[in-house]
Amino acid sequence: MDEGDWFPQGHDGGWYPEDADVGNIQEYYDGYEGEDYYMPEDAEWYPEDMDPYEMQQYMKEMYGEDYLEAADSGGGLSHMDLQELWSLCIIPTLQQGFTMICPLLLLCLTFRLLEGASAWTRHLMSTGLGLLALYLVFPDNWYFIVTFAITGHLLLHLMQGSRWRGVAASVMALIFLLTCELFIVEATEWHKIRGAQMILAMKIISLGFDLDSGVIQATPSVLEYSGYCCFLGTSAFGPWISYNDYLQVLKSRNLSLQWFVRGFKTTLQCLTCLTISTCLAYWVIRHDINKWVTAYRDALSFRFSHYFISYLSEMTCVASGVGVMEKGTTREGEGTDQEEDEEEEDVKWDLRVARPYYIELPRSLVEVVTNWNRPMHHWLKTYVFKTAKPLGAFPAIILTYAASSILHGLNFQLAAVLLSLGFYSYIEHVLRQRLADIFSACILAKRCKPDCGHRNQPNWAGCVRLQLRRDFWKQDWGSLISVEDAKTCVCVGLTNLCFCLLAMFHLAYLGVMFDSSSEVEEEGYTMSHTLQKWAQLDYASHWVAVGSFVFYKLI
Amino acid sequence: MQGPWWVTILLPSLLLSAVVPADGLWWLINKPGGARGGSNAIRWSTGEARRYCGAVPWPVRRQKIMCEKFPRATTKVREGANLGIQECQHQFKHRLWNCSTADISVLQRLLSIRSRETAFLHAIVSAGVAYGVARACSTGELQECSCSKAKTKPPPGAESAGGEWEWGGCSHNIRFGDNLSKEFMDANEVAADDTGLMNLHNNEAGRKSIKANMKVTCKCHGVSGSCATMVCWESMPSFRQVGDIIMGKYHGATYVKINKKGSRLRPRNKRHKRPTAHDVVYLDDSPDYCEVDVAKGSYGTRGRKCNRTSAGVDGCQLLCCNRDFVSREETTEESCNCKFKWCCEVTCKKCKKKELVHYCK
Repeated sequence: MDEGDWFPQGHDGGWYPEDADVGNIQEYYDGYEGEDYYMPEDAEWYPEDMDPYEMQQYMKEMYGEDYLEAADSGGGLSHMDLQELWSLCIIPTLQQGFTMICPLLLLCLTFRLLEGASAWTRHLMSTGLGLLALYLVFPDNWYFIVTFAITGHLLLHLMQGSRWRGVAASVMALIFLLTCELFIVEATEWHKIRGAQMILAMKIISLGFDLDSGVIQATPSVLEYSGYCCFLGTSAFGPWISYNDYLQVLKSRNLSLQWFVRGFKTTLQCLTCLTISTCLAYWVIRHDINKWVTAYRDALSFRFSHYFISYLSEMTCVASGVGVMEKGTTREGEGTDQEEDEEEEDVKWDLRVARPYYIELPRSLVEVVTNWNRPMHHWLKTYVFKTAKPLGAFPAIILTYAASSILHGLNFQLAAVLLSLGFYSYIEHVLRQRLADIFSACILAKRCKPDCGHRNQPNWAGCVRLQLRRDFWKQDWGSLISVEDAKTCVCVGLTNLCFCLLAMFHLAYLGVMFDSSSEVEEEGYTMSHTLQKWAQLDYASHWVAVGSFVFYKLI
Repeated sequence: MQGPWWVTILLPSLLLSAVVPADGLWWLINKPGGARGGSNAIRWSTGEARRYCGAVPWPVRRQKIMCEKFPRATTKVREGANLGIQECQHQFKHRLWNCSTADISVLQRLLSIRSRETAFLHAIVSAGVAYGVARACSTGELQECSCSKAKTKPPPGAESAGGEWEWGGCSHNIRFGDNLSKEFMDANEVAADDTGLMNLHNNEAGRKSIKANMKVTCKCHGVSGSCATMVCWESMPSFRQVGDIIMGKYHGATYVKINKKGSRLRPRNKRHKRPTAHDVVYLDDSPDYCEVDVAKGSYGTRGRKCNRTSAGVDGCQLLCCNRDFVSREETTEESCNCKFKWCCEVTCKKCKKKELVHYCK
């Protein structure tokens, strides 16, 4: 045999079509696609010729869905050392972060620095710059937001003098959001602007209720209304602010160092959270050790992404001049000085949207929910909970969570998470209250105030002082702190720690599905994805919650 | 000179230990920053570049020009080739032919036989060069492939729902690595005969295996989990993964021959799958690696360490090709009793261990 040729000698020339008649070529190549045919000069193909999105689509087509599943979740970070991580992940992330933040920041600073003469100038500028900011962030979809605002204004104007403006505004917002999501807008596009629509809906509904209850005296004119709705610091990502807060902004104030420092600090926090969410979380917890650790990592990345957006919104707000004037009930123990000069009021630049410390090391789920998005929490408490209170405590809570889910859009994932959170926090609240009553100890879901009246109130200062003494093993304890006090400290501390760990467990479970399988990430996560992720963890968290509810009923 | 030029130039630099660099053999020094006459500076002066590049007998004048134009990148080319060889040695560690580079002339003769192993070597070295250069670009060691601003390519049309991207990463690394790899590896091959065609094809297959495994990861950020903005970055696979991929191609390599016109390579067997540009091809059967045959580039397997308990190709039966093996008791040193000291080092003692080691006869 001639070198392994399968055909007998004398025939090897004729089989290759180019060597034979040209007429055979078509027949020969029938059934072969272009990719199969070997060509010495292949078409040059470089990954950077394509946009990243295109390239992902290309990879999916070439290699099938396995491409996305087979690789490490988190982009193959496991083999990188610190330097590679820095240059391949962190630098591009920061670059992209800056590209996004800088224009917004400049616009906000422009607004702040141009102390316009009259109110209507500032309203006009607020509208104009706000629309520009919207356009920068959502270049394709900003007109939906504008349409929504106009519809809201028409409704409020038409219903002047009525008592039901709040409810009407809610219904209108609901219908608008649902119509857009279901019929008009494509899923991916809607998913992008969902956040901004939610904030606008909150603004309109709050206007309606405020007008009803008399907090705002007169219906805002077109200019004031548009200035409020498109307010620069809150249009794209911003936190909800009430109409009265907005009017405060328009009073011109001098630039202070405190303001500058705060803005700078917020920007740093913003970029740090972005880096942690995109790169560091996946690099620190690299391999898929254990499904719970992976779940914790995915949830962590999601939470830090939320903090990034929260700090970004804080930054735009502070840069545009939204400070906090009143003493807020949601801030524990932080008083605000309000010295009234003739012209100036002392402003504490302390608008906080999210407080990561209280969420990462949570005392309870109730605290998590409160600190997740403080303006929204305030909004829900004021406009939904108080309105629904006449129906009873439990229905009011459920209605609050339902309102929150609807505002977030028809998204099974978010609705499921929020509903689960609702039940968990209710169960935890009642369970801890019952336990606190039984043991008379400070293990409530909310932190105890000093005058809470529980017997077992740990003297934390004494306990800590005890520990800080280096020779405390030798010391006679009795002189420093009584044994009961020490026992109280330890018991209460342990109990709270247990609840803290339980809350972290629940958080990891609930956040697990917000992972980076970007096939569904851009369209909003579907029901099957959610249930699949939860099934992988055996619905553990739900069972635990059911168990604790049963336990509560038993005691 | 027989065989690819890079064998003579680049492989000797693997002999790290106890090599006294003689004149003209600058590549044997493996100090960081490269060569005698080279420096650790980002920019080399023309004199330095000329000295560095002049000492290497480039077979093609174009390569010398490239070297003088990108001297620091050329050091990365050399390192990349080393990387390729090391990966080859790792992949073939337990096989009959173990990619050993102890004797250059034997390797050259091996490469003159156009077998699967030659094909693998071409692919892996080519991939190694591209990888090394691209990696050096990414980590900022090379200035020649500087990162430019974000691409201004418009998003892929409204219908594909891609949205607007501001991708600010350094996107030119792979292209630069590819170009350099092509310049240095393909320069000496001519597409006129079957050997040239095969080498060119395999070089490209090696490079493609890196490109095809680039991964772009994107993460969405937005209010309550929406996707208002996306942050994307690209990552290269680890070279071990690339080595595994090319090893897979080695196992599935196609046996080809040149057609009558002399323009293309075709699979010898009509029923075999036609090789794509990603696959590896070879022209000759491999020689028998069991016995020493210097003319065919085989070292044989005498004196190789084998694994008595394994039934695979590294077991004493297959590796020694059914010859006998000798067992010797040897004392090996290894680290044991490692303790963690506060703070923060780990100190280990050295234990001598007697174990039975088997060598092929």
